[in-house]
Amino acid sequence: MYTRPLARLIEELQRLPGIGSKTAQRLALHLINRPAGEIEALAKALLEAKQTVRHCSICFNWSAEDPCEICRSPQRDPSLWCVVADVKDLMAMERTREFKGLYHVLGGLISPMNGIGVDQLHIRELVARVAREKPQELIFAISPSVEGEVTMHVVKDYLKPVAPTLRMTRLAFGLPMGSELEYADEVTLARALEARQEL
Amino acid sequence: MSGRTYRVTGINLKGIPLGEADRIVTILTRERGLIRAVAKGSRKQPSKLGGRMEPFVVNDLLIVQGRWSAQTETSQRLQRIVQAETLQTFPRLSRSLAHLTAAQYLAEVALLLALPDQAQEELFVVLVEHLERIERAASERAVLPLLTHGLYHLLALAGFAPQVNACYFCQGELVDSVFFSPQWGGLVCDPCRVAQRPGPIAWVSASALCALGSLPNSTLPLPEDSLPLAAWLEAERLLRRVLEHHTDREIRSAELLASCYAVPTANGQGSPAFPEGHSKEWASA
Repeated sequence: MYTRPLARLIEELQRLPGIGSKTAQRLALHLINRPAGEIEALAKALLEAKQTVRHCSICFNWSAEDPCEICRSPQRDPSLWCVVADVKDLMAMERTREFKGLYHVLGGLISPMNGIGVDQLHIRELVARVAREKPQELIFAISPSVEGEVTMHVVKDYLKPVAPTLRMTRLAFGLPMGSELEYADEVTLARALEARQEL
Repeated sequence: MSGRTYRVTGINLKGIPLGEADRIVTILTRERGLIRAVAKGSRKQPSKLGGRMEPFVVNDLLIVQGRWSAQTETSQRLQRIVQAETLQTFPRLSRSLAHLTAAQYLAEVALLLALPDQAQEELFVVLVEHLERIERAASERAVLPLLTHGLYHLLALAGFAPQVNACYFCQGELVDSVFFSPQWGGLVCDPCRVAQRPGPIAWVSASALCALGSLPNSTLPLPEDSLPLAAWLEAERLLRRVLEHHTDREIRSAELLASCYAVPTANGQGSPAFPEGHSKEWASA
């Protein structure tokens, strides 16, 4: 139906997450209609990102430079770290503009069913980094799921022997801002009750 | 609409992300066996489905069947969860790696044994019962016997339970050297091993024999600490071979099981208390 290069473009776009055949067709036809300069810039940006972006050797954030911008920044508080499962979570934390410390990206959550254990995550690297740099507090910003909870417990157990005085905290869990109590699910409500605070 | 909706009670066994904010949940239901359904928006904040779609949550669900053409593959025929009311949760399964590994292990076994579109009340009840027991286990050490027990009961439901109290061939008492054949499904005494040559076979230690012997009971009669962990790991591994023999699939959670029971060695490195290649490994008789 489509000429060969266009069909190939649609096929490639279809491989992207969340893009089905209709969206791929729409995107491909849109791209073809754009000026050549714009398409070149897009292709160049794709290639450059792929060739230069690497994991930061310290915190495992994505970065074109090693160490990453956050690890190099003198404005950051080196005594306060935030442990996240994924770079997307790091970005969510950064969007708050409240956190001024450093990060450590674990690269996922422990999931025996998917064959992900301690060795598949950056847990040993975190232990070595804590022993070396001796932060004062670690904040676990990890999604409150069964796998998230277990990952936190395991990391805590690994860190206790090397840093017995390290303060380890986790984000509060419970009801989201602007939500209505009557529509909250029982699991969330039970956890909110468990983590209630003094007025 | 009522013709296309139905109500079931089920436990979430597995969830995979779908698109931006949705999730496909695999649920073992009492009334219809294994079903896969989409929980729209369950990864988004705030969502009333959110917490209810986590693994190991038992819900009363209202499900709407999708419309699909006759050519649509079975795997593509997704239904949608429109309402969920939580009946039971297992929050303490997240207290240790061993608790989670054991729970996911049993969930994987249930996923292998469950059939779609068929009432499987017994499988549902047995799985929930064993998850409750694992959740109640006070220590990581106590989890392993409970996992092995749960595995045996799930195998028994599927009709794969191995013979664990007498020789499979002669039904005789087990004395001296005892062997285990996953292919024949059970223990084999030494004379029968020589006479019958039952294919790949493993030698069974006395403590593992004791562990295996206690499994047909509805509860474990032995105090948790009377048998070494190695015996339970060996019993679990033998039962796993039976499951793998019948289903031709591996249990991924089992890979992490050994690391849950790591013991410090002289060089300070943790190593599995009972490595995979323990004792006299599978030999052809």
